[in-house]
Amino acid sequence: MTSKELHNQRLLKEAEQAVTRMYTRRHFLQDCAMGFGALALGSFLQSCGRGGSSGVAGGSGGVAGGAGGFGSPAGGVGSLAPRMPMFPARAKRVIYLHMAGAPSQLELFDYKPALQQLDGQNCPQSLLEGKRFAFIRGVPKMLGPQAHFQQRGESGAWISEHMPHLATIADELCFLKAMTTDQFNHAPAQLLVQTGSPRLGRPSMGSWVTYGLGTENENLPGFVVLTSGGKFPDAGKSIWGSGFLPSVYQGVQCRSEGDPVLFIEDPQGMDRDIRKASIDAINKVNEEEHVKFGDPEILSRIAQYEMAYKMQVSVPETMNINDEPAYIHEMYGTQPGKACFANNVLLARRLVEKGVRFVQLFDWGWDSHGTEANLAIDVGFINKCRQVDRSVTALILDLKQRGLLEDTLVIWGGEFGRTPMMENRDGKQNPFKGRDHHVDAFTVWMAGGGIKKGFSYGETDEIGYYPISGKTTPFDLQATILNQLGFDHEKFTYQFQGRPFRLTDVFGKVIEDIIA
Amino acid sequence: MYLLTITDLIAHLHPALVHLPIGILLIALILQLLATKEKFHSLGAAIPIVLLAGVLSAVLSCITGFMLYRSSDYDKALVSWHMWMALALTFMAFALCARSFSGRAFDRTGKWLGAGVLLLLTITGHLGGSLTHGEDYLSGALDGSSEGVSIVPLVANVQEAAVYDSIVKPMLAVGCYSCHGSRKQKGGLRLDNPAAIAKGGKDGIVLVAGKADSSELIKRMLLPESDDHHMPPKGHRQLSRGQMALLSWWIDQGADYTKRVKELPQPEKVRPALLGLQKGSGLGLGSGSPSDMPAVIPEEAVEPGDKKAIAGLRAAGVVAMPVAQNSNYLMVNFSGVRGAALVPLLLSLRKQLVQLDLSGAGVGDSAMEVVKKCVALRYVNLSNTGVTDRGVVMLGDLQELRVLNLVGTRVTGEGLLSMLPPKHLHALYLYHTRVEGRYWEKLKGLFKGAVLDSGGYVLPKLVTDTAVVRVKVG
Repeated sequence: MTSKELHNQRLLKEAEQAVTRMYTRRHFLQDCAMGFGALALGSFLQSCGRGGSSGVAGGSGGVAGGAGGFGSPAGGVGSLAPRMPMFPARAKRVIYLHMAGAPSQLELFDYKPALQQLDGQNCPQSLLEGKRFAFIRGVPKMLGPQAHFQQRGESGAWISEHMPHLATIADELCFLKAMTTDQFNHAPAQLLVQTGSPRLGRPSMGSWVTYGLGTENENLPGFVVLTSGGKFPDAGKSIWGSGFLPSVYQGVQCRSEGDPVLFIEDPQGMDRDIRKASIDAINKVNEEEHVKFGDPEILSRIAQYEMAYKMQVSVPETMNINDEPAYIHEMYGTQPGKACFANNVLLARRLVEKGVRFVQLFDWGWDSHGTEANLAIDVGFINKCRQVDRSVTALILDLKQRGLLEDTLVIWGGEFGRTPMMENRDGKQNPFKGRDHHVDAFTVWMAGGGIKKGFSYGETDEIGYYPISGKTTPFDLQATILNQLGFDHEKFTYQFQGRPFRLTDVFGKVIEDIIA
Repeated sequence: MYLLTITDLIAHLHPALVHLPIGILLIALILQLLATKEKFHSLGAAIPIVLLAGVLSAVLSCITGFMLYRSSDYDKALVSWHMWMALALTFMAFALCARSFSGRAFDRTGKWLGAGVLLLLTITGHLGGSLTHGEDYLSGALDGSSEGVSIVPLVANVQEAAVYDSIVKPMLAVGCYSCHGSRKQKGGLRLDNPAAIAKGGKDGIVLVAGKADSSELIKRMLLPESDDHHMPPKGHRQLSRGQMALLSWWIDQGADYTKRVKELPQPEKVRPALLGLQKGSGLGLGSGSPSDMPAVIPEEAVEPGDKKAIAGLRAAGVVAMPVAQNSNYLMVNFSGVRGAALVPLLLSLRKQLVQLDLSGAGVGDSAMEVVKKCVALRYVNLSNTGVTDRGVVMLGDLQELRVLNLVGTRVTGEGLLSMLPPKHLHALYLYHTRVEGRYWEKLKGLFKGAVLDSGGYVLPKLVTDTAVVRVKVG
């Protein structure tokens, strides 16, 4: 026996074992009862074709006309076909720019001159009682704003010198200045913002949106994730996972360097026809499996194979930013060939232009504790601001001039805020100026998608410690995003483990005041 | 907070306790009915004991009910009807019970008594329900009036509206009257006339003129919905933020009962809410329900679009579907499918089509012959198509148009100037077109009220784009 034959035999054995694992007691009993009849029937019906596998529409173009009541696993679930929202939508697409690590609102948008007066003084006991911080211990010193602020545009929004480009488009933005959360560590806080729960296992916002709306471009995934290279978000890939939703709705992570998706090229010696034939064969086997076991994940798998096949052409084409004209590259400040945020921002525009529903960008390095120069509020933080300032501004303006900002919602923010106190890790002075994680107040801004322009909602107290009006939570933000996409967050549910689940759990209120 | 006395506690058990006689007596009646059949005859033996339990629980309910009646402030007329009906019910049930113990539950009188018990049970139960949930509880569910519609009737000119009569009163009526109105005065509070509002409830005044923040009325509404003291109570219809802003504004301005809106100063905060009360402003005060959405689709209903045309478009890979569930208005997105031949299909959807995206679909001016007939269109995207001035002029027929995207077409300034400007146009995108700068002022004059975007934004080169901050050494 040659080694190849041995290998094949091993594969066969593996497949047999996989099948055996799926074979439950219920199947056995069913087979006992009906097996002999089925044997005979099978030979009668062989010529009739497989009528039962019509549910395997996958992404093959059939528009699921009525998505029906959400929550019932029927009606096009598991398919990426476009579906209509509950009520007429103001936004059709979302670009979420998540600054993982949590940027300091006190150096960017939440100007607190009174904090300057307190700079260097001990933090009053009243602010520390009953509080728990990630790293601050004992009595920390207050830290005044480490930036110069100016009021910008007609709206008079305060934006610091760290984002000089963004400052010029202040009148396009809507600030939520009194965001709060209840998670003071990165991973749970990121999960809360993106999935509506600080624990693992819930579908991410992008998954919910693609589950609700499908994708308008059948050659591209509905939900694309781009990371800036370097570190991954602390919460890992779960923040773009599909949780209990069928896995076709999970975020497709595209690399911004090299092949956008690993192994997207056909292997050597295999042309596209053979690839198609092999995928068809695999899908046929899978369809038979689905008829046998009824596991919806098999349908997901079939849809994903088909999607992958289409993506082989469409993704490299869409992800190739080199065919953008030079002035666009200059506008975004891209660095072709590198994995960087600016390239991803340009990609995000290309993706939404092609009909991708939800583009999720993760940047990293915003965790300005002051433990090293890169994480210092007056060194590394400023560099981070400069890295994103130009490209984010370009994105808003580029979407605007193409008429896309009309129905594309852009969100920029972190998972929590930073303290008005200087961090003293374990009670000792940090080598650089830095701020600890702060759950009670942070700033998120939104633009486009039917949100008010040049508007600020919510205020914090004079040192930016607590909200005093217009307090909002990640649930409110999620409810508002869904509302703009045409969904009532309280009715948009999925039946799982015997009860309907929603993105906002039992919380959240649409922030009506910011809707244009 | 005051402590409940023991009698209060017992009295408060009444709403829970009343369900016992309702259930037990109903079971007795069902048994009575069944036992007349031969098959279930044996059930008859259980009737006396079930009836006895029902009568005992009814007596208990009557006692607790009477205690509640003395300690609470329900609508007097309603409550006394409830009481007398309950007493009658108890006596009739007792009579039936006594009959059944002597084995005469199935004679003619027994049956009449049974029917009477059922009737009284229904009436008493309904009256009780009306007391706790308000009299419009049932009828409200029928006509759907309890949700979805705007609380405050829209007015033609909000500045001329009387603040109290047209704005404040309707909000109080929906949010408060069911418990603090003429029929019921929970906590001794009545809010349906100026004198009663000024008087306050048994814990003191609820409104401090000029100080919304110190007014109990506002404070209670601002508490989290889960708080026991929150008003209106959890599960009842809540006021929106806009409505609360208006209420606070009215109190801050002195809680005057006669003035008109224009006579009061209007801070920036309440302007959107005020404007939302005006007819046709498109803004609403409700909770984001479809009817409150800005005019994305026309208000009037439309019949469903031609199924064949929709199927034809879909078969070619075009996304064609209703803009929302329960709506017949359609959005059609060619999503890059090159389908000039498909455009005529739109003709049979012309009444329903409100959003059309032909970007990159390889269509030209001839397609506009069809598009111009789709007069319901509100959003049209023609970017990167072969449309020229000839086509754009035809689009003047689309008077409902809100957004027109001509990015990347060969449209010129002359062409646009000869177009009849749509009345409600709010955005016109002209990036990468052949519109020259000298036409700009004229175009702005023609398309009044619309934002014209020429695009071509350039970001200046700043030192900060490339400079990197480093730690100062030393």
